Amino acid sequence: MAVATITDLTVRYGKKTAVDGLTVEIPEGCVGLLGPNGAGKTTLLKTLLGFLQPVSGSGEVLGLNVATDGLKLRQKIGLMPEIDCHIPGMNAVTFVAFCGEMAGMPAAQALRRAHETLQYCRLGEARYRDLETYSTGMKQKVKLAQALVHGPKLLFLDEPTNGLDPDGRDEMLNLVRDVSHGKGLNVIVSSHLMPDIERTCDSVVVIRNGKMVRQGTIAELRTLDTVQWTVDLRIPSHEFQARLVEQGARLLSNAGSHYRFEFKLQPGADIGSLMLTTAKHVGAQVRGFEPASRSLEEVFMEAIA
Amino acid sequence: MIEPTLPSVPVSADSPIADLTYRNYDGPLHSRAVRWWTIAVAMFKLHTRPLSFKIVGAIATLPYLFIIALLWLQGQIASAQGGRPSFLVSTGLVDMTVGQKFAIQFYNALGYQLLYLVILTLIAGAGSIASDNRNNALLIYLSKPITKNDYLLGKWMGLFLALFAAAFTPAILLYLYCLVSYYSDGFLRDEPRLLLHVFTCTALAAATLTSIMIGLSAWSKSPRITGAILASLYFAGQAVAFAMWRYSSQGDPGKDVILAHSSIGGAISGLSQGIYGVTVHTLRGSMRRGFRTVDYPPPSGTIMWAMVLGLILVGVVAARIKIRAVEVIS
Amino acid sequence: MIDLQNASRWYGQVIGINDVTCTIGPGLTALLGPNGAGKSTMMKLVTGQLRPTTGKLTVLGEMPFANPKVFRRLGYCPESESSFDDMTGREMVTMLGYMAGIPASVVKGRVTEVIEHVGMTFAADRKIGGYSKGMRQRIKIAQGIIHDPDVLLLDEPLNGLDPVARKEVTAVLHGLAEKGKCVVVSSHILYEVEQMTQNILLMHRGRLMAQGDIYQIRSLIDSHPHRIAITTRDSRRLASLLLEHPFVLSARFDASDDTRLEIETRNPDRFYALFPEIVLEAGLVIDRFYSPDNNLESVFKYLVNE
Repeated sequence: MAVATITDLTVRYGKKTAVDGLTVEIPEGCVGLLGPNGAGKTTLLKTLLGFLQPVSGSGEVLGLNVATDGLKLRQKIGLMPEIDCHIPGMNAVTFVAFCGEMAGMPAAQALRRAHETLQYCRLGEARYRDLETYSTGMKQKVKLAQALVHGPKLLFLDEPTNGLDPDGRDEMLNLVRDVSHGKGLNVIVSSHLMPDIERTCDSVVVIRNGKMVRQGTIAELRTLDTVQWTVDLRIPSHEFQARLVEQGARLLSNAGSHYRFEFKLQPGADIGSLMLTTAKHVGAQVRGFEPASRSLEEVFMEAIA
Repeated sequence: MIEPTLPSVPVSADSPIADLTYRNYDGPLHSRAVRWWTIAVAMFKLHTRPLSFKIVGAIATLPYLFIIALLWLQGQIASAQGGRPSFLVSTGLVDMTVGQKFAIQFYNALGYQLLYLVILTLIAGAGSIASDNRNNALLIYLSKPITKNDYLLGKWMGLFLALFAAAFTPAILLYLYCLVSYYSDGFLRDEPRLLLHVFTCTALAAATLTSIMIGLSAWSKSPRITGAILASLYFAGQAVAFAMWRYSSQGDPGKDVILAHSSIGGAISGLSQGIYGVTVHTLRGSMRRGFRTVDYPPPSGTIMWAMVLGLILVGVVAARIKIRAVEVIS
Repeated sequence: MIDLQNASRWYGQVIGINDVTCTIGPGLTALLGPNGAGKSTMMKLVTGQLRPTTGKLTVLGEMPFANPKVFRRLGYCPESESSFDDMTGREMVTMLGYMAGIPASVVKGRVTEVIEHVGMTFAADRKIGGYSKGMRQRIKIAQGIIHDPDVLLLDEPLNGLDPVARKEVTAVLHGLAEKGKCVVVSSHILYEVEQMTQNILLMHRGRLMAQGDIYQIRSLIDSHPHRIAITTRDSRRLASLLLEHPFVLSARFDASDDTRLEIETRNPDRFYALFPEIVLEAGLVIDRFYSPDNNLESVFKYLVNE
């Protein structure tokens, strides 16, 4: 069952046609929304939130029509914006509870739920301090908590790891992964950092110039048509490379001591042993090998080329 | 190794370990109609929390305390002196005209209090929408299931209630004092609709200041600039109106009354005078030429109503135009 | 080209950088660290906006503070979005070119040259207010290199860029590094840094934690033995064979996947030499093996979280 079905949607933003006859079905689970800056991702998200009226086409999100059911949509959607945003003069608890109340929750429920989501987002005692004193990481957590407080069915995350330390990024990505799997919540993540997308999302949608150019599960998109392996040596070795090529491999790329080969062997062939044997014969030390797949970044580049 | 960092425990009702992972909210929801009220309540709390608001609010009660003192003093002197008018009456501080004996005090008090109300508006309101603009708070508000109108109404109401509370509380105390002390003097009998008038004038004053502040605030990203603009509109406006009136009327308070009231403060006070229905008696003249009492009836009600309602309308419309939902995601 | 000797800087009681000694030479160096580590203090000190409270700091042999001689050979691309939104790209670069001391006779040509270098010719005459993030970053670099500085500092230049723009900006920076310039990039997104360079300067709480090549640093971190993840059908057999050797410290299995095995060793060299011998002799089929912590993220974690 699709979370959102968009058919031939066209949306104008100012003078620009930002979304141009877009047709895409966004599946359940965690979906990455990718695209170069200015591709129309943000306009699409605004339209799905019911802020922009499409010029033509239709969009259905969670069974609601984007052109007419703006308010009902926002009841079921939570947004974690990219840029810094907070309501001045409040601490985290007040802020998140207020957001809950604005979504219609009774005050007592909103307060209880605010604590619950702040706890889930790992914000401890700091929740009683004024938001203006928070570090970037804490602000991100609060943004996520306010998006979750009213129990939405769909979550939009815009650059969720923006400004976060590696530790904070880890925490945030774990949260996103956890909340999007098995909790009845669908998530759309918009980000430029492919590792973030790979870690949290099951599938991606690539948008370019207002149109959908690639869509699929990450696993599908990353599979290669041919058998490719990457191998790392201790130090670069021409002999190793030459020896492998002799045995039928084709060199695809080489950066220092990191190699990428294509093999035309039978499926099930023990390429690992082949490489270890070859290395032994030329006196090279292998430090790692694995079957290559397209990195998500490569998928992205190809899709928008 | 892929280690789950969040506890994943078997979800069974009999498990001694509670499942504290994220769960959805499927509980009760209020109807959509009250969303603006939620915002209003939150804003009210926000506005009235700072110490500066409370202090200025306390100072704003002083005019009323002063009037209570005057009335009490008048009562003391009157009973001591018998029938002769006291110095309070002759200087015009206390007006014994039946039918407006008390109304005029409320009218005067509002006049004194307006300055403090403006200061309170600056303290509370400047931040209102301007700091939302600066902190991108609109992103949060408008991504919730509320409309722009909910937001605006909530903001307006929050500020209005804060100002109204600060203005009306001392007024109601004065009213109760008068009720208790002067009931036998014909307080209710002579001025039966006084409470309604007090309520209306205070509300109109608060509403006007709120609307102008909200209107200005929506167009700015800087609370300080907004405050400065409101302050200058109010005070400079008053000075300009006075200067124009002075020029045109050559200092005769009976002429060009409308012009004299052509500022924010002037309009509010002119309208209040009309609502209270009081005629101001002042002493004019000098020691040399002798004093005489001059009467100033309230200025034209229609025009005053038009000015005040106009100001309120302009403020609200200006805010409505400016609030754009679309910049929710950069 | 940039040289610090026991340099410290503090603000009141708050420490900015603490007793830092390092030398940054030509090439592309990444300045890393969590928020509050002292990266921006370092930047400000090197660009001559601050003076060190104690210690010595020289750039190109001279103290940079309020020193026009250094400024002429130094380029700086700050993080903040400048308020030049009403100017066109060309106007902004021209203005800053003048400020950098380029004479009027050559500035126009130089501006065109440098705008082309960053690939912004197509938008040079549009207002900066309408630029995308990537375009802004590129025009910032243009103004930073217009006077052909020998040292270029960039504060979070890849922030918010999509992968295409990231590649383009990185290419420009690599080009400059190859010409022998000293390019210092401050960032906290490890993934992007890893793609750009192997040369890092890691700071934490004002102290310099590590400097140099990522992989060299990794190999020197004693307290965390090297982890090697191996996927094979015969994981248990492989484990028992490996555990016979004293430099293999532990073998761990993944509860959800019995083919995954993780080895810890303090002597990676000996391990990598031994591994093929065991595998080939026992005829085991290895599906993949790699070292999951031989990367920047692990280096960062190990050093910062100590």
